[in-house]
Amino acid sequence: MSQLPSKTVTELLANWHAGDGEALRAVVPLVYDELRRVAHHYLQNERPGHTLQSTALVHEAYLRLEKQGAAEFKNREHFLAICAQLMRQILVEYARSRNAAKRDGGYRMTLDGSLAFKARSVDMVALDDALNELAKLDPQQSHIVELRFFGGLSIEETARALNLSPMTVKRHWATARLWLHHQMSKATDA
Amino acid sequence: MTPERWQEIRDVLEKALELAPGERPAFLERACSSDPSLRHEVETLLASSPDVRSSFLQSSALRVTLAPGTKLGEYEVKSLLGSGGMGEVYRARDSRLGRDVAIKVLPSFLSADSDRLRRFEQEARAAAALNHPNILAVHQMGTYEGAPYLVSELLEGETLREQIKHGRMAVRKAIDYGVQIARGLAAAHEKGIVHRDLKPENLFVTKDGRVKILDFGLAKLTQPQSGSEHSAPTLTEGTEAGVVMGTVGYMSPEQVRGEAADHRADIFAFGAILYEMLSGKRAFQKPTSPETMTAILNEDPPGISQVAPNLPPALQRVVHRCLEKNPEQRFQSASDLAFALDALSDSSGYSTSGVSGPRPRRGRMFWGIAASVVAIAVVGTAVLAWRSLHSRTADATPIHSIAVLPFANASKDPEMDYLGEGISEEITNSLSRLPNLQVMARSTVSHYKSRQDDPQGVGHDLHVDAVLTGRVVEHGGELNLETELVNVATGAQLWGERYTRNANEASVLQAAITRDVASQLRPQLSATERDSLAKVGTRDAEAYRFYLNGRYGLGNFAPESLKAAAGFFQQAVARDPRFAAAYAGLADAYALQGYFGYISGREPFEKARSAAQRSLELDNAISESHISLTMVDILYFWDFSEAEREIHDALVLDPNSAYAHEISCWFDADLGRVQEAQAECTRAVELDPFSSVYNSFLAQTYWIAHDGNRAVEQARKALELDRNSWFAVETLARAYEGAGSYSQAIEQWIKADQLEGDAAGSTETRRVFDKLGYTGFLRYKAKRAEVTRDYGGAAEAYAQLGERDEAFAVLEKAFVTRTDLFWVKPDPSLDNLRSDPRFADLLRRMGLPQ
Repeated sequence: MSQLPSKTVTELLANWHAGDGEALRAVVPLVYDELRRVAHHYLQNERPGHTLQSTALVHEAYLRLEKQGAAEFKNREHFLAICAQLMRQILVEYARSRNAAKRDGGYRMTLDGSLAFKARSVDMVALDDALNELAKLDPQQSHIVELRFFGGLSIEETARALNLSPMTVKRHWATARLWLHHQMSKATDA
Repeated sequence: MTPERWQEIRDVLEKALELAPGERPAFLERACSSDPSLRHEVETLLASSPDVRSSFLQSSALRVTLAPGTKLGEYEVKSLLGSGGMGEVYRARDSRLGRDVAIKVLPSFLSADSDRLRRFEQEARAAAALNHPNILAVHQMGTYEGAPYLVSELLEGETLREQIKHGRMAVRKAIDYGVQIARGLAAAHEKGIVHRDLKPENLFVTKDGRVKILDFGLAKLTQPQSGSEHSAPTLTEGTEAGVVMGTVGYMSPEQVRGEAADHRADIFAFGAILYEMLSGKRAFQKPTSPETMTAILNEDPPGISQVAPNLPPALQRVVHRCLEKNPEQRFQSASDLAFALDALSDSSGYSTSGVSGPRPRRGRMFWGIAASVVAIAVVGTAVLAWRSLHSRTADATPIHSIAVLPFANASKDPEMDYLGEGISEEITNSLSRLPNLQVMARSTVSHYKSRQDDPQGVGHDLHVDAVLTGRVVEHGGELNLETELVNVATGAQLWGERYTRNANEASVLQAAITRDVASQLRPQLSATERDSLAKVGTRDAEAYRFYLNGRYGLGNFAPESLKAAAGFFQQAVARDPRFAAAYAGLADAYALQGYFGYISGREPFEKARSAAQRSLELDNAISESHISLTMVDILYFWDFSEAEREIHDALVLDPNSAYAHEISCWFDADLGRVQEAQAECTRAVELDPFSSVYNSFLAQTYWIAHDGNRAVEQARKALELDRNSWFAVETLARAYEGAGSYSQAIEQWIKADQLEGDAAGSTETRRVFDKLGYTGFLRYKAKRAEVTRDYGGAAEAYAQLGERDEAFAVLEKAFVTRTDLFWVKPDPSLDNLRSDPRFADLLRRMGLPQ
């Protein structure tokens, strides 16, 4: 907590709201550090029955930043969007390092923490690759998945963050998932 | 694929998705008439639609986590109360009725199967309609963004799992809870509703001691019943070793076999729960779920009389009758069961409600007598105690044991948290010097910190006769403290007092309270005795604060923790150079840092010895000084005759100090007095049952007694108390070695490496073991230990390999550094060396008696 200079965050966000795009880029590393700290805390204490939820992580990070005096987030969705993107990086990095450590490449993070339902686990690395492919076809759809899956945003929140109608988000979300699923099962079979 | 092509595919796909599956082929026929490959692409994607809809990417990242302020119908979410495998629970406000409720939101994939969901709703509604005091009242059900949710009454308390986490509960309480659970089940069974997933996690105990059964009907939704849908997630699928053990451990044999299960399945689960409440052990628990299931089918659990001695025979019979493999041989109804238990509580003189009726002084001891003559035993104990102690509280129950709850902070300032806890801890320490009074150790009591307003309940849980509570508030430089001493058996206030002091006089306040409490408990003490009891080492508030911080740091053997402790003690003695107890703490912090190799060489031990001697010069009437000197004598200087005198003095001064008994155990073990060591470590654990370190050492006393199985059992307990303790893990590794379970030992050695941050070491350990087996591992361990100058560890490994010369060579090095020969005499890993004259010679040179 102490390594996060709260004033800087507040100032940067104020500047961001004032239309300074650079300020947003500058705030990202700060948020990233905090998110990574929070996320690693959870990942390291991972244990059966422990619920790891990106949404919870994002909320916790948000609360911490808010406590630091950075309560100026007028636009919560934008903040969540940044978090979602960073959360993706963190989780994928984590999965990669775990894969490397296990050397079997088969590690799957069970995102819901409920290990009894193994079918729901997702291969983070494969998902990341597939999302990159999807971004080549339609960056917006890739974005939607990032926000929904990694950021835990609802349809409505996603719509607000991307300035789309909820209906559009819903439709794009459905087809993106079908495409990703197909893409990832192709990769597994290969 | 190009972006343009994807857009084409997506347009068709979106339209197809809006149609019912049956209408899609005709639509595709039309839409793709000119482009068969487009149709193929769309169909491929559609093919995985059912899978994708129910699960893919719908997991937790997408599980609905509701933000405060979210509205579900007329309920407004306020906060998240908790989350588990089956969804999150929120506190919410019912604006219409102006009350708070609990909302449980289930994972959205459960609603994918509408049939299943409907049946769940039916059953949950039926259970809710029962309106029974022992069943959670469900107000409403609904779905939110596809996730089913349940609105129920909001309960305050904890699950039964929490309550039994730390061991068995009082018999009377177990019977009381049992009767309540059985009544709830009876009400449900009468309406034809079976729970099917009864377990301690599904039983909730409210603050006022009422038990509520949760989650009726949920089992139907989450577990396949015989002949149910094939696509449902099953309990065993994805069940990795140990992961869902808690769930399978309460299944009835008929459920394990996948047969139809009726209400008697709940009675079996009830039996397993009652067994666990009474014994603190699970009836069926194996390392993996399949093994647990096999045990449920084929094995009887250990007789309850073995794991919980001295239960009334009738109660034993009730437990075992519930656990019959054949449903026909169990109780045939939950109301019969409730009746049998209730009768039992009456006949044994225990009321199941309220607090009237006699209560055992010490759970275990009492029952030893109770089986024969209850009344005489109670009267006898009381008279005896009355005569010897004669409490002037005019309360017929003498006080043999007490728990001091951390004093509550009545102000908003978190700084004050610390003060309340500090004062109550010092009172705990002082009171433990009273004769014939067992004082619960702080680490144990601190688990009950949140239950300030229920001293009687806490007292029951801890099996103590009295509980001291307090509230502290600082206002305008003035410290106000209210305190109350409660008789647990009667709930009566024995004594209460308000103190007002200047804010910097916390230590004076502590002395005053200790003196007053002592005179309540032991009126026959002379004024001098009371004063010496209440003696505080310092009048400097800051020094006192540093001291408390230091003591806290010593509770953990991690390098940073010990280092911080030393720093705090240094600050304490800098503020008050006459603060004896702080010097003792400083000595311990140095000695332990030296012993664990965090500071190398002779220096930390020299410093420890001077600090301990300084402490003794300042005050030789506190046990801490004597303990510190004992510790440095046995760990480094090998002055065993001084150690013997010192630890003896410490125990005379503080007969109920867990710490004194612990160090006494170390001393006995060092001298090879295995039985005595075991007794002393057992006493330390009795006085402070929740200390992982003390539990680990107790395990090691079994290990040196060559009782590997018991060592394993005990080490597991230590590990449960602190999952991240490398010391407990290493203890468990040794215990497994002792029990001859090498593959299990290796897992623990690897874990120990990981906990110590040696990832490379753990990988290598695994590789070596896989390739070369345990001897290969031992050789690797010996080499590695030599490099890291852990000569004791190297000697153990060489000795286990039978390589005596190498073993003695490294022991010689250990003799020079002096730091690795703790417990060398009884160490079972060195058994191969014991007949060698060089071993006897080593002991002789160390000054150890032969």
